[in-house]
Amino acid sequence: MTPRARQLRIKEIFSEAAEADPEARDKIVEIQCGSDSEMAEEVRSLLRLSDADDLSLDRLVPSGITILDEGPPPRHNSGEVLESRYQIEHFLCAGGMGEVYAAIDLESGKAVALKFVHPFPVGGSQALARLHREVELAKSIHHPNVCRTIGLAGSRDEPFCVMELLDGETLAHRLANGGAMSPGEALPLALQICDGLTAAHAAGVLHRDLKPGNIFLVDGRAILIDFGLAAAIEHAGSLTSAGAVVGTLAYIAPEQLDGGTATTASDVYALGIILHEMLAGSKPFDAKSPLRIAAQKARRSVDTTRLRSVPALWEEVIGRCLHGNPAKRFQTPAEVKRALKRGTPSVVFVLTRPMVLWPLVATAALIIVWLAWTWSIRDYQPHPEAAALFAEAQQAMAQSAAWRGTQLLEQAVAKDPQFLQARSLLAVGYSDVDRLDKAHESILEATAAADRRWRIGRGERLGLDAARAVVMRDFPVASAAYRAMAENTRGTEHLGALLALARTSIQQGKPNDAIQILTVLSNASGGNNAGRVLLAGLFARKGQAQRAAAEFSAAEAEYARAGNMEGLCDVLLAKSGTQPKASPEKIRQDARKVLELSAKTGSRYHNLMAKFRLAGAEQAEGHFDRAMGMAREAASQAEREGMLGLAAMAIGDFGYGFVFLRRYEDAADALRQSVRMAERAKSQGILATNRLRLGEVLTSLNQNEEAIAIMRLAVDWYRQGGYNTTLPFVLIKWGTAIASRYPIEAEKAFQEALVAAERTGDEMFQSMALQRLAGFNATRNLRRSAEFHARALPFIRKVNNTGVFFQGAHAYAASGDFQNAKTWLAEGERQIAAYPDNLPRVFLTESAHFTRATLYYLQGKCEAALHELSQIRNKNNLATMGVSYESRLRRAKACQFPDTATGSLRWANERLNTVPPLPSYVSAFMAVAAGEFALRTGKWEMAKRLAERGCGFSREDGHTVYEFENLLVLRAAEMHLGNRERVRDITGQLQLMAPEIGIGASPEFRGRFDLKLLWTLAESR
Amino acid sequence: MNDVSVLLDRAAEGDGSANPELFAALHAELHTLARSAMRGERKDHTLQPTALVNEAFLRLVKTPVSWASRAQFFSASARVMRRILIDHARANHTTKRQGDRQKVDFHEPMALVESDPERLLSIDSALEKLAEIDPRAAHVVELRFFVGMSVEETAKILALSEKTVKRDWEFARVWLERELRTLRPE
Repeated sequence: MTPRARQLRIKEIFSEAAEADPEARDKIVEIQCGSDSEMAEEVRSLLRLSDADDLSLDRLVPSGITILDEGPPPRHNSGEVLESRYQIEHFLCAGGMGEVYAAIDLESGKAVALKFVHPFPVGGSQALARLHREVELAKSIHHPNVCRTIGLAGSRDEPFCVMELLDGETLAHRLANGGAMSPGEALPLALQICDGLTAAHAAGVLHRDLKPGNIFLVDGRAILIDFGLAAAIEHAGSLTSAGAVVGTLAYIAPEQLDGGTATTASDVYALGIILHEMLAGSKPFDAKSPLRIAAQKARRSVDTTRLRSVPALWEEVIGRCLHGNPAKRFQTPAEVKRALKRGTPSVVFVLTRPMVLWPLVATAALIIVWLAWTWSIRDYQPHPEAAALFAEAQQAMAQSAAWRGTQLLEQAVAKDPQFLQARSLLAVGYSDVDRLDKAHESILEATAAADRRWRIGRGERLGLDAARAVVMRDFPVASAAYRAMAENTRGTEHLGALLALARTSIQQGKPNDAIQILTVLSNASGGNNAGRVLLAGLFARKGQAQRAAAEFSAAEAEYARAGNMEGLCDVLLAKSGTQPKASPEKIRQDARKVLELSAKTGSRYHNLMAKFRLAGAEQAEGHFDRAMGMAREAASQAEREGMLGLAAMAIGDFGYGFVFLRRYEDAADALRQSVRMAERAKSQGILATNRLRLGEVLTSLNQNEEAIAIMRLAVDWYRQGGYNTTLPFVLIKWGTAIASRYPIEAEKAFQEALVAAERTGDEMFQSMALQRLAGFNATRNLRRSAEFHARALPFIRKVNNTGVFFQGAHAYAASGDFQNAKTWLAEGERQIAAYPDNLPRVFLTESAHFTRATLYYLQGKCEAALHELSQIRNKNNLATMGVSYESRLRRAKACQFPDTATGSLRWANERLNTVPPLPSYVSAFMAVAAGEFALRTGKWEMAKRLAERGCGFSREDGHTVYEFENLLVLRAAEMHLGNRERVRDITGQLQLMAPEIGIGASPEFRGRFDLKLLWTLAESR
Repeated sequence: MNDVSVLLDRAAEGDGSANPELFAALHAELHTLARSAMRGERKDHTLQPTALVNEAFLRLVKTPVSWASRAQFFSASARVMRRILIDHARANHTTKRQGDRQKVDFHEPMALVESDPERLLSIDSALEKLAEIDPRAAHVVELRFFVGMSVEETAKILALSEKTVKRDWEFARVWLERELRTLRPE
């Protein structure tokens, strides 16, 4: 045994013995060491030491670093007069920022506090200017809960802040001496702190350093001090005061830790820590523990277990103040106040928590009885009418009629305000219909209701936990709660839990889990109709049209048999809402039926939805204006009937339809209207969706600045809100919008989207992200483009993303891989055949012609190319734009009829000089075409100029493939102009580029006719 | 020093505590922080190593970093902190032997309340020995003793179970004690 191995063996034996009972130790050592008595002795000597508690390492160093310097004594003495105005009374304290003195303002005769701000070592005048600004702002706050700031005085080197002198103790002091507060004592103070903060925020001042040490208690009044000073210090370049940050680390919001900007929500975070400290007597994170603070905050979760003995509402409020994601926190102190005012904690607090008190007084026998009793607590028995409404709402929500479900639950809660389960589900409903504000309120209402109730059952607790998690988009937590609920319940409750679980799985981006749950459900005891509808929708989305139709008609038949007209309406609407390839006539039929039925039931919601579906049928037939008119009419009805969010959604959806017609102005108008409505309706999700769309439309209108600003708002919202399933899509749109201006960021966005889609396993979005990456590279690097296309292939086959086949065929053709190009093209054309006779089919067919034309042209079959191009009627509808179409047409013509080149050259020159200029990649391509025309007509100088411009366009955004083509033109021009050296340079450059970007080395270019042509146009001299 | 995230990311690929760049950056930062603290902004004039390391983290790592990088940071900090303390003890020790206790080097902001800098120096050299036979236990000591981390935190940083950390700590504690007593019999 090596000495090291021997020592490790000793360690092993030592550890085993040390953890055993003292009596057993000798035995262990004996057995383990065997005959090695030396080893046994060594272990024994270690064991003897291990019982002592005064070993060297027991005195940890952390008590051991002290700054030798005792610090300067107070710099000013009593009686001293500063600025000929402030007479120092006495030294008060030395805080984190500097010394504080009590003084008399000789001008007014009033007592004031002078707070010195430490000299700024770095940043100098800038930091001072900032301090001035902050103090000026703070001066404007007049509020009983904010300490008056009188002004800034003193010299440059020694500025001090003059403030109202307060006579009381700080909250920190109160907590250190008196310990935790009762909810009754804490509430009035908490409300006042909220008021003070609100007043400051209204004046445009963030506190940034809120902590109990900055809150004074004067005769039951809470007064906040030191507004804005933290900002001044923070921006002084270097932190002068190490203590200031270390001391308040516990109160800093995680986004500030990560270097983000402070907002009102950051002050709310500090407020949450303070509330926790007031009620629990300690901070949620231990200030001495760097990991808890830096990492636990970063993990964005908060442990509120120390709040177990306070009313649930406080726990809820504190949890929401401390959410790691600022977007999910209460945004303002006013919201905190509103939430806190919901509870009346002081009175009922003891009653709500028998669990805490009972065991303390009970005998063992009583505890057993008590345990049995708590486990047997049954959920609350609601008013029967409320219970019926609740059950119906559960079904409605499962069959994608969240609006109706929410309305039913509102009625249920009105009927029985104690009905916790209904309140919880209402929160989920509100979140489904995109009223997050109301969803949060419902959670608070439910929590406050729980506090008011004598006892709440396990199912009710789980329901509330699940609802909170859904609202916070913490779907794994919600799933766990619903699963627990399903396991512990029977009958309708069990069913409700399963449906909720399935819905949560879908939201979580796990449709297969939902399918599994629902299949089990539908096999058991005749199944459940709502479950069937949900299942049908899932099949439809997976492209399994037949299974979807089967489930839908089973549900339809069942509702019809039972005479459940509301249910029938839901099914009919869900049917047309989830089947993308339903024929307009079918949609119309179903919608008319819903109109009829809703006239009988009186359901305004169904009536409206049917009208939107009718408009949708018009749109599907290509009658966009008529559809929009119908949608607007229905939307104003929705607005009148209090369903503004629904109106905003519809206007946005139909307005966006104009994009297909390239009618961007019309689309933008509608989307702007939708955004305004969504803002008014407080529908954050609809707002974000339509902002995203509006931005996309604005880029098409070349209003890029506005577009990017609007989209950024939406993208941030999705990123922060935990919309994991939608995020890839959002990023794809975002990347597409910024692609021409910020190509590098765009590619990053696509890659981020791909990663996000891989994480959720969403194949459609993976296919889209890969498509964008492939498309992005189609004019940059054909080799990479081909790689991405190859990766995309299995996905596009699965999700029927037909358009990608043409993009792929294009890119393969461009890289000279005609074989793959043909295969892709053929597969795309086969998919088109399966489309119904609708607009997408028309567009896809034209895409196919266009692609085929390109393929033919690149193979040198100019006549065939011309024929394909002549098949295209809506040339402006092509994704590649009309100009691009025209230049391809003229190139094919020039090769068939050489004397058209002169006219085409004139045309191309005009196009290249239009205002506003064409996008750089279109210009780059145009330049190649123009250069070719110039070479054909022997205008070498012009060809050279065009090629040089073309290279410039190509380099603007890195369209390297076009740069390569322009260089070919340039080479030919230089050859004719006799610049042999330039020709050699360019040829070398081309040889380097060709393999890199995936075009075969010259002069074959893997068979590309156009490139060979440009090559030979040079040789033909 | 603007941002050590890059260094951390690089360090996360190998042994971070052995990354000289990261080490230098941390060393400089911890010194600066201690020095600025000494200028008298704090009333109690005592800095906890935990607080120092923590603040260094806040100041150096300005962009969000992965958990692995965070752990890397604290792990490397522990080694740096040990070095600073030992350097200081060594300086102090020399001063003491020269019979001039009052003399304070103003470039060296930290001093130990430790009446016996020798204790620290001998712990340090014993720890070197321990590192030869059980480097993991030595690392545990660095984090727990020199930075004051709890068992739980140490476990997280070193990606070990708490039980393992406890065992390592218990063994190191007695092993080092025995080593110290042999060096300096009482």
